[in-house]
Parts: sequence; structure tokens; C-alpha cells
Amino acid sequence: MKQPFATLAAVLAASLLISCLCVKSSAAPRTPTFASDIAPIIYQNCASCHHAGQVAPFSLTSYQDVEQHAQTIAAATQIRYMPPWHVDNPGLFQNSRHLTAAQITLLKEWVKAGCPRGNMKLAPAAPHYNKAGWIMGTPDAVYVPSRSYQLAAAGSDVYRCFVIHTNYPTDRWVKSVEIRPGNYHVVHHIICYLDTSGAARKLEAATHDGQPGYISFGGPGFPAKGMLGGWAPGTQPMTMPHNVGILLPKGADIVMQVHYHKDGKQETDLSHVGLIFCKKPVDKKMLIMPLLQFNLNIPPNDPNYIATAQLKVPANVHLLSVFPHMHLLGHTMNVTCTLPSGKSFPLVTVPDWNFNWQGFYTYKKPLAVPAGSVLHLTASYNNTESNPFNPHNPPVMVHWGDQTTDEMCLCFITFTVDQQHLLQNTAYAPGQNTK
Amino acid sequence: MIQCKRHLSGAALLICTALPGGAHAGTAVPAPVTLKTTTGKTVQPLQHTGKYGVVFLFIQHGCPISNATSPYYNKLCREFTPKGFKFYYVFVEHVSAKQAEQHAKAYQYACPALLDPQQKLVHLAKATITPEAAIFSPQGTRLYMGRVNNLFAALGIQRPHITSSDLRNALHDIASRLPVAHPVTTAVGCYIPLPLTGR
Ligand code: HEC
Repeated sequence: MKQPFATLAAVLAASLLISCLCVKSSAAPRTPTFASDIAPIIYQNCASCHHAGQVAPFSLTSYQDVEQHAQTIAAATQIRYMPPWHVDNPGLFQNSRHLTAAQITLLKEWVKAGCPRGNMKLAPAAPHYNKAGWIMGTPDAVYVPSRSYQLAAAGSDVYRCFVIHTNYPTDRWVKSVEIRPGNYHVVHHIICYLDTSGAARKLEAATHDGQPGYISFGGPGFPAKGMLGGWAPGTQPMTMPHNVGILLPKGADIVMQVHYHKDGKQETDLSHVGLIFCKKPVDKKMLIMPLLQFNLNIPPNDPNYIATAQLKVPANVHLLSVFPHMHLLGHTMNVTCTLPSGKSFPLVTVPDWNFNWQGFYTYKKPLAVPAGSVLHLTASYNNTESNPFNPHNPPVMVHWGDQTTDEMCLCFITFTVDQQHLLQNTAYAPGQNTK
Repeated sequence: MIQCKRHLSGAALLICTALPGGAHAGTAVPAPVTLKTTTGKTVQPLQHTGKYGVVFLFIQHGCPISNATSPYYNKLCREFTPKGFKFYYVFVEHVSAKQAEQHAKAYQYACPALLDPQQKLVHLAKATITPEAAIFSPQGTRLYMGRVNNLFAALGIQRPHITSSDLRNALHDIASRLPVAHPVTTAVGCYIPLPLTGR
């Protein structure tokens, strides 16, 4: 039994000696290597999008890949452009892609040191991905626009709404939604709205450019009846918690708003939305509350216009996800909850809003918020020329509106009401939503 | 020799001074860079320029900003070729001629594309980013180096409109026989990696 201890002691002594030597030769910390420092960061935080056939423009699944793009990687992570994750709040949301400041420094130091490999025998294995299929499992129904959309090679971004008829004679309850872009090169993000008013059909009928759907920049161009979720690079399928469903009203149209970002060549797209219906009766409906401020008067040349909104929660609820939304002048958004006890906690913090990367952020666990709590939203806007997104040159007064040149101040929050028990209510017949 | 002094690039200067004494004074003496196009043609782009010069756009096929810039560069090429410029795309990376040619077709390149895996032109122009443009005079002097326009303010930050058409302005200045007002600008895009050879 003495032997292992002696060995351990020797190892400890040796490592102590090595670290002493290191400290002596230079005060700098150990140079990061690909094998022990960089590969774990890249494989865990980047490769899921950066592999063949996925959304990102190149693979990051080997030393060569990473070394080829090393300087751009250092630059892109330094400014927190990559990995795309536009909220703070580490630990609050599912599928977080938040890099720590230490990880970002490691990447920078590694590039500065000339991208050393280190002992490649110690490097983690490159991640392996299966051929793309539905992540959530086989959908019960798949919806696609009537035809592909043709996108020109160059010009401004396009926000196209496709009106997809569902034609169910009764209400349906949706358990999971997975949105799959048809063309990763140009689809920047997708939001699916629901319409039961026929407004979207009218907007489409009034569009005569020979293509399916209609153009609408901000929202879908009408007051939506609901939302079926969204997609942005990295978005996972949305699955409701146990007993919860998203209502797909009878006869509803799915209005799929696709944000296209032209990539230099002509492209076509046909994006899909797959639904899995609830196989068992649903006890709670997913509801959406918008926390918003319509009264926006953002003066020209104001670098820090502040808008606020508040909402008192009337019942005990559980929050499922948030969807912050501003247009091109938006800079920061901070949503918090103050409990009746006076205690506050963050619901979402957007440190540097980027209109091009929006979507739902789903809480790791539904957040319990008791009746009487107050939700606060504070947003800031930069209406100066120093904001590169500013659509006005020179800046002008900007108000609430649907257009690129207007603004919004809005955070959608999806939730369930604790007291709601549809199962005890005859309005919903069991078995109604099996296919 | 006056021509030689006008070379900005250190590499070009070296070549000038190393020229045999027999070189005719006043002849164009740009660095004799020989490259292949994606269709297999051998060219010396600095030797055979347009009346006013030659324009290069350094690109990488996997760089989104490079690709997003090509329709705009194609337009410049169509507009300024008849005015006395030669235009090229330059692949700065290791791609096969076949892959590069496919890319050129997909993006409907309006001018030939060169393969520069050893980054000879990259060094001469001192390019560090893709997409980045350089203009050389018929004498081999670098007249412009930098961004094509300011569509991208930073990685991931695309303006709604271009508000500074830097390459177009430079071409316009040169074609008007004026000095280029802003001969060096800062480009936004993907860094050019070192060539694979010699690593
Ligand atoms: C959620 C998906 C996703 C993840 C995760 C991701 N990327 Fe990206 N990356 C993209 C997309 C999409 C683009 C193309 C951006 C565009 O076209 O606007 C991109 C582009 C890039 C670029 C090129 C920048 C440019 O626009 O030229 C670099 C460099 C990069 N990513 C590095 C990384 C690194 C490093 C990580 C991990 C730390 C990472 N990415 C994680 C999706 C992702």
C-alpha cells in the first residue's frame, strides 16, 4: 500500500517542480493548446452548427479547420458575435451557448501563441453528427408553403410571410414544434404565427409579385391569434411540459414569417414546420402575454432613449419562455420580476440587441411567479448615426410601427396558469386530438 | 527607376532593385506574379492591366461576407471594365480549381478568378482580410487597398444601406486621373490564414 502513495508523492513533487520552473522562467500562465484547451471549447460550443450540412458556413471539427479560421474565431468570440447567444443570464435558459470570459481569453491566447497543437493524444474526439432528420421524432403533420420562394442574389433582407392552411375542423393541441429551414444559406430566422381572422390570406391575395406569401417586416401584419414558436440557428424543437399544449384553433392558418438574408447568389427556399400533437388530453394551454410599450417617441440623435413597461401578474403562473423583440434602434433590454415579497430576479437580459438573431429563450425549468408579482421591462435605443443598424441617415424621430423604419418595444412571455385545469372542464373532450 | 520608387510594397521594391541593370528605364516593372485562373489559364495580372490598372478582390469561398459582396463587385466589374480596368477575384486559400470554378459559376462571377494558394498577390497587396480589394496601376503601384464598401460595420453587423462606396470612389478617382482620396481603408470579414505551404 505504500507504493501508490510514493508514486503519487513523486508525481506531486515533480509537478510542483515543473510549476516552480515555469514560474521562474516566465510569470505568464501556461500556453493553451488545441488538445487540452481549445478542442473542448470548440467541440462543445461551435461544432453543433459548424459541421457539414449545417447552418454555419464552414466546419470546425478538426485541428485543421480551427487553425484555418483561428484569427476570425478569436475576433468573432471577442465581440461575442459567436457563438450566437444574445442574452446574459447564464444558467437560466435551456441550450445555453454562453462562453465564459476565461474561455474567450483562452481562444485569444491560443491564436496569439501560433495555434499550438499540444499533445493530440489527449484531445477529445471530434463530435460525430447523424444525418439531419427531425430532432423531435417523426411529426404527425408537416406544413410547407404552397411553393418555393425565389430569392435574388443581392439587395436588402426580405421578410416573407407564407400563409399555410391547416383546415382542421376542430381545435388541435400541439405538443412539439420543430421548424426546419429549407435553405441554410439564406434563412436567417423564422417565426410561426397563427391566424383565424383571414387577414393573412387577404394580405397574400393583395400581393402580386408572382411568389407565394407577402412581405411584412416587423410582425406578421395583423394581430396574431397565437404563435407556434420560432427558429434561429441553433434553435432546438419546442416541446411543451407535461400536460401542456399549444392550441391550434380549428381552421387556423399558420403564418410562417421567414427572414431571408441574401448570400450573393440566387437561392430558393421551402421551409418546413413539423408538429407533434398531444396524444393525451391537455390540462393547460400555453398562453402568451406581450409585455410592451406602444408609446415610443425616440428623438433623433438620442444615444440612450429609455422605454419601460410593467405588468402585474393577476394569477399564479409558470413562465415557460421569453421572446424579446425590438427593431433596428434597439440596444438593450432587461426584463425582471419583482415578487410580492419585494425580491427581484431577472427574466431575461439582452446586453447588445441584434435584430438578426432573435428567437424564444426557454427556461430550464418553468419559473413559478405568484399573483401580484410585477414584471418590469426596460429597453434602451440608440438613434444616432453611430448605430450602424440605424435605417435613417440622418436620424429622425421614430415611433412604434411595423416597418423596418419604425420601432417596437416588446417581450413575449409564454406561460401557463396554475389554476387552469382543462381536464376538469367539459369544454375539452378527451381523444379529440388524436389523429 | 522612378517607377520603382513608387512601389509601396516591400516585396515589389526588392524585385525592382534586384532587376538586372539592363532593364529599360521607364518600363513597367511590377513583380512578375504568375497565377492560374480557375479555368486553367496562366496569367500575369500585374503585367497585363487595363489602361488605368487592375483590381483584385481577395476572397475565401467559405466566408459569408466575401460571398455577400460578389454581386456588388460584379456590378463594379461590368461598369469599370469598359472604362479601362481589369478585374479579378482572388481565391487566397487552398481550393481545387474545380471547386473554385463551381463557386465562380454559382456566384456568377463577372470577371476571371485567380488561384493564389501561395498568397503571392496577398503579400504584394498586403491583404489580411476577405473580402478586401486592391487596385494596382499599370506600373505596379498599389493605388487602393481596403474594403469594397461599408455594408458590414463589424462581423455580424450589416447596415441597412451602404453609406460609403470606397472601392467605387477609388475607381472613380483613378479614372478621373485624380489621386485616390482614401487609399487605405479597413475591411471587415474573415482573416486570411497563412498559406498551407511552409507551415
Ligand atoms: C447556433 C449555431 C452556431 C454556433 C453554435 C456557432 N456558430 Fe459560428 N456561425 C454560425 C452562422 C449561422 C454563421 C454565419 C453567419 C452569417 O452568415 O451571418 C457563423 C459564422 C461564423 C464565423 C464567420 C464570421 C463571418 O461572418 O465571417 C466564425 C469565425 C464563427 N462562426 C466562429 C464560431 C465559433 C468559434 C463558435 C463557437 C465558440 C461558433 N461559431 C458557434 C452559427 C453558429
